[in-house]
Amino acid sequence: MLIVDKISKKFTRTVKVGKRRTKKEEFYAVNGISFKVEPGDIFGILGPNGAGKTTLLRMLGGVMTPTSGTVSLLGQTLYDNPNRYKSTIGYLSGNTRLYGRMTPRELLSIFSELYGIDKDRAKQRIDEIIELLNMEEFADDRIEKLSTGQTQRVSIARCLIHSPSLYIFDEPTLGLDVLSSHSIIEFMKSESKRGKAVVYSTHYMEEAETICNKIILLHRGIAIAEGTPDSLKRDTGTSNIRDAFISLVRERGELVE
Amino acid sequence: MNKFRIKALKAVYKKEIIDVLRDKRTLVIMILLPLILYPLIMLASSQLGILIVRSQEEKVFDVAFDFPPDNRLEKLIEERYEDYKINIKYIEDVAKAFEDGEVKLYVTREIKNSKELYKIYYNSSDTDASTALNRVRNLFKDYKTMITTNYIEDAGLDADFIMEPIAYEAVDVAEEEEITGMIFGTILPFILIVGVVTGAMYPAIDVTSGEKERGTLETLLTLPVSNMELMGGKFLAVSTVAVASAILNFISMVLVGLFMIISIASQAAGGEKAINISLAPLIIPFIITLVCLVVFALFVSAIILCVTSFAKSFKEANNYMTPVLLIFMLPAFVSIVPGVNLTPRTAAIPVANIALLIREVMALNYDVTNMAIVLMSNVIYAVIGVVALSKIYNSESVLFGSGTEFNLLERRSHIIKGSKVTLGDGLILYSVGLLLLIYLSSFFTLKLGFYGIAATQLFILALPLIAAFYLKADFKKTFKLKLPCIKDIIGTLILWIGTFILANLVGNILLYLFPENEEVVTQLNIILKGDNLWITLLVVALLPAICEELFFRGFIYSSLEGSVKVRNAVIINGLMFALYHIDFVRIIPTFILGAAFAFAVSKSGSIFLSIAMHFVNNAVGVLALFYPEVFESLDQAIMAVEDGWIRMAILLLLAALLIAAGYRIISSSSGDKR
Repeated sequence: MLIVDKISKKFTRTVKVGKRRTKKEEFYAVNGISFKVEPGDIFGILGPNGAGKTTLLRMLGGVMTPTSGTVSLLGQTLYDNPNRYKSTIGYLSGNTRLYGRMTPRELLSIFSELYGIDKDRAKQRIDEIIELLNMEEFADDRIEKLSTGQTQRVSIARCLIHSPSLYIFDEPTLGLDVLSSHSIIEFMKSESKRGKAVVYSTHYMEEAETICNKIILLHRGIAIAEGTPDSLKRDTGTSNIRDAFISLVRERGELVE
Repeated sequence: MNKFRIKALKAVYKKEIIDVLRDKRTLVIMILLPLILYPLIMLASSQLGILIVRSQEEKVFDVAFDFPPDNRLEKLIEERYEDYKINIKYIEDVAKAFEDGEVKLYVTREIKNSKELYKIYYNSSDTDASTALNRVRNLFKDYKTMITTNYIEDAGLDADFIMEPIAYEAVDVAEEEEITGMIFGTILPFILIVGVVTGAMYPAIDVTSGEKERGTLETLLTLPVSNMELMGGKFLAVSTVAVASAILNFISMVLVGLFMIISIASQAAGGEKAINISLAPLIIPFIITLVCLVVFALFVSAIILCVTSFAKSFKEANNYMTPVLLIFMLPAFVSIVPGVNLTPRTAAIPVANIALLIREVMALNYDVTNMAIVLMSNVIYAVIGVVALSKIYNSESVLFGSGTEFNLLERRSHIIKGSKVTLGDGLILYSVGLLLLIYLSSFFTLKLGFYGIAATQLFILALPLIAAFYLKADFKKTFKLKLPCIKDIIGTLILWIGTFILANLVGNILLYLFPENEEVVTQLNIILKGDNLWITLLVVALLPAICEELFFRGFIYSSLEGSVKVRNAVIINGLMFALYHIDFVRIIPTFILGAAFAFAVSKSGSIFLSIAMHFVNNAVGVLALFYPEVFESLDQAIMAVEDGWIRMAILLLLAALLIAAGYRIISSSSGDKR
């Protein structure tokens, strides 16, 4: 359903040259990455910090425009009709924070309006989601007063409100306690069972290994390997994804010990 | 592309309003400030004023005389002590008593031409002395009347009649509401404009840089909403707050103003007569003022949103707002300046037109044509602002960018050598230059006359040099100190002739449309004409060519370069140059010239070209002042084509051809040098 074809993103950054001079330098945060995601997949994008995971997911989320390459979903590219594309995905990242001055219920109602869902259906849907994610006790408190785990549940609720068929989650379990991250992982599993696809990034490799059916390993903007967890381990002759990653980077001679 | 949907716009609007209205800062600025602070300040200051006047009235002053006052004078003071409230001291060395601070003023007597001449010495910078002076003046006036009356009566004549053979009095025909309106009219515009600007400021920062700082912008961008819908909703929400803030400011000011006028009037009438100020004639002007304020609020909101969109944090946005606030406040002062009225010309000047309109309307003398121009021009400015806003909000660098840096606000030791001049630095330098120009140039021209122009120019030159030194910038790059090649020189010369014709043509058309500016131009020419051709050439042509070019095409253009596209940089630079001239008729011609200069510099990389162009341009004007006959014959040659339209068409065509040719030549040569 999601086809990513050789997408790249180029940025310029200022680097120090010598002691006093600086110069502008172009670099690729994401360099020619392609993959396919099918319904029911939990697709893991793995890599250390600065590998380009966030930039890649931002482009998939339609928040950032790629320098080159295309993204298409259900046969339509993102750029033909960005609004339809965005209506079919639920995007969540560490940078998609919520409006602290609103209550979860208000936020969900405004967002359903922005997704063009009609009022009566929205009201019903919000009640369903609040029940599904156990948000009853804080649904009418201001978001700024909620705990990290509660806020993350509201974020998930925001992604769910328009019943998307593809979820794009950027490090959804980062900084959460065991229970909260467990409930998020359970959520992804249950959605994939219902035939929805999940593309998700993390640098917790063990976590990915247990739930993903496909994995792409990202290093310095380049996909260094792609496959199922088992095939990756088999190809590198290792027993877990973490070792597989290290051995792949070492092969490229880029590992700094 | 997606269609623009009102529904999405409405949803964004709703979201922003909920969010903004829950921000305590916005509420304080919007409601508490106008409703509580203004009345407090105004009442406090008026009470203080009354208190000072009262205490002044009660004071008794000692006055030193260097002569023993004669009986009649002494008796007069004694009889009417309650009126004068002065004690007379006969002191030999009055000057010493005065210096020692024993008395506030002293009086000397001498005999001149067999007449007694009394001199009252006082220090005008002392408020007490002025009050005492008035009383002593009254004393001598009464004393003089007394003596005159005595003489007349001694001669056996009717003193009352001779002292006042005729009588006259002035009758004020202004109706009370006109006076009321006038008092409102001078202060109200300024406060309202500042109220709208500050009212728009916080929500604007909140919905742009606030979203970035709190990390909600990306959440917003995941929604199926186009940039236009997003910006439209934000714009309307900010405008709503700005308008609401304007209305609250307005109501608060009107109520406080009415209260003050009534209390002043009842004191003036001694509380005997009931004050009756009719409000009915003020209703229509109040409504007109509100309509204009609403449109103005739209304009202000768009401009402020444009600026705050670049900032990535509250702090940075506040940095940006300082110059913006100044730029809005300066023209708002116009309503306090006497003699500046609402004319078709002033009605087109942003901000100032609103200030003048409110003043005029409050004084109940409004002109429908001028009002229409004010409304129309504000609608146009608002549309320009919104279009600019939508363009800005479409670019990814604005949404995810690191914001513009203000290196000028950094400590010099933190600045890396050879760094590029940033857009922020350019903006700071431009606002400083504009302020200096407004205040310094009028000061210099007043003190130094013609040479004041030279002094101002040297300041304009000093600014970018100091800034570039502070920033440790590469002077050669920043000021484009590079020799041009022959092809560029030829191209620039042709381009200049074309723009010269076009600028003059446009200038003449504007003069024809707004004939009242003829006077401004004539006066300007008188100021610009020095004693001697060579000195005038130096001061009016050479100095501005070097100083203004290093400022505008050197520093300012370098700051624009790299931050915006070349085409936009040229246009913005031209606009900045035009605004710097603060003259309505010259705005469009100077824009054309400024943009042409900027274009030549951008393509050739050489400031010398624009200096030469600028010099020749001004020199032609100077020569026209000194040798009008040569230019008259040229004029006649042009006038040989009798039909005005054909003449215009020929000139326009000529200008277009020359500009196109110059453009081509410069563009084509740029490739091998860059």
